[in-house]
Amino acid sequence: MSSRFSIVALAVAAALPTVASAVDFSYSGFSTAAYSQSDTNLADVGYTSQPDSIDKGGSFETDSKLGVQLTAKFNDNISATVQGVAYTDLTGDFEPHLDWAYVRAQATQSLSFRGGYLRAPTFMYSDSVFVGYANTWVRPPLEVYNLSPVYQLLGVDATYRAQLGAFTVTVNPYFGESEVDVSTLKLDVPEWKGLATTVNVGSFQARVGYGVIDLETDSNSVAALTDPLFAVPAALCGSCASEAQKLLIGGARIANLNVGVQYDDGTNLIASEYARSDADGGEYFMPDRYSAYVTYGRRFGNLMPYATLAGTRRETPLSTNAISIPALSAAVNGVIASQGATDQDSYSLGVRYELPSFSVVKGALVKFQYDHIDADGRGNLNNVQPGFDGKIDMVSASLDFIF
Amino acid sequence: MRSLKSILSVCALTLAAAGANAEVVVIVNPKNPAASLSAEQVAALYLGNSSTFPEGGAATLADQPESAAVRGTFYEKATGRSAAQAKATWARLTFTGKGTPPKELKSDADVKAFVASDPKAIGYVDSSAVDGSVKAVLKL
Repeated sequence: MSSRFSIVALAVAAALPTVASAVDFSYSGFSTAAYSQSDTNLADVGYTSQPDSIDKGGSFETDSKLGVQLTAKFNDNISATVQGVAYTDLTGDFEPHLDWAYVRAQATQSLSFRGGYLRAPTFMYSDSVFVGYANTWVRPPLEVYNLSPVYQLLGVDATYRAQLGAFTVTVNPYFGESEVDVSTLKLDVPEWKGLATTVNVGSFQARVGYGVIDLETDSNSVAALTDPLFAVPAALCGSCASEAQKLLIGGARIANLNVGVQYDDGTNLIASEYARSDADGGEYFMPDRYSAYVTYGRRFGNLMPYATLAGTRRETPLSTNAISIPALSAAVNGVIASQGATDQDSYSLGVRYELPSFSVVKGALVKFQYDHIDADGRGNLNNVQPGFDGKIDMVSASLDFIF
Repeated sequence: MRSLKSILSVCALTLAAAGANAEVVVIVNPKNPAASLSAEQVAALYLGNSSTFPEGGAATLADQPESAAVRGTFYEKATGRSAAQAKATWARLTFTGKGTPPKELKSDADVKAFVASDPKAIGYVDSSAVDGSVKAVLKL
């Protein structure tokens, strides 16, 4: 990633002096300073695999961000945008990332193309979850937003927008690849394709998204299990090979389906999403799940109280009796019992308060949020320790700016 | 006779309302083919749901400064949203590459000059600032 970043930076720097006179530059930025603290050290709340996520010791790392965006508009139809965002990644370091870097071409009034680093529109707010100022919550409902292992796409997308009477229809196909460094392994996505379709009418928006992610990885932490499972002759254990596939992240394919609705009449805000993750391979680490949430907020001037209900349900069984060799069966069941999300419900209550803007700060707001999580086992949580009773109470405060 | 009376009383009421509440007028360049725009069409532009005029031409949006009362009145009446809500919407669009926010100008006079000089421009000003250099397409 960093070498690609320097090539892009070099190309931009080399091109700047020659085109600067004809180019319209604009810059803008956003930031979130957020602190959260829960009532337990036996489980952490955060993005899947995020180290140092939220526990009793408190966390500034999980949701704090600083983003800066520079756009160069070459003419009415061609522009280039670079957005760098500093945040705590899945290796646990707060450091800058090249989150977006793309060239955009407006082909016709209704059709545009982009190529470069993009955020895929997997869920309704996937591409804007880092922009705290634009969002209702301190963080998106993790039951839904943890369903995709990757968010950044290196590839191309197209946006087609049609006006059909009172309806605005937007079709957004995308295609590319991805990679992500988790503290324990590196995930590669050699192919990622999907489509998001949105319909807006008046205060109402409905959206359907579908994406397919192919996964590869440089390491197999359970080779000691999968090698013997593949080696067992099918005559002795007919299901051993297919059970081994369920332990392999490399070669797995994840399909994400998402249906979202939003109603915002200026006073009332309702947002709800249903999402599924279906794995073909690797199910024992990334189980098949479906999740949903509904948020209601009501504005009183600059103050908006909001409430969210969310839940996720696991469909992949929590044990297997398909392996006829006792030692292997016990070892595989041990993995299933310790890996992958299980059922979880949560509710959140919060307030979002718009502060007056000042100086270069174009917008400022403060949010306070209380979350109650009720997990069945380890739920959708990180670093779960023995003795955890599944219940977490958590408070968060954030200060969000745009500039 | 009775109908003339009622028309006159409606006119009087309208004038009284205009006096009590300063009117906001949406303006475009005189070369713009649109004779009028609906509040819904203006809202679609200023909330980023559309980037073109109903006839299909690209639109360049002008905004008033945050300190100007006309800005709040415009967003409330045209979009049903507060100016702050529109700002959050534009933050989402800006940082996901889906739109360019309206260009913030300093005054009615600046907005009028901007709209008068660009055939693609649209803006809004206090009704007292409208003159022949621009075309009024919607009164709010």
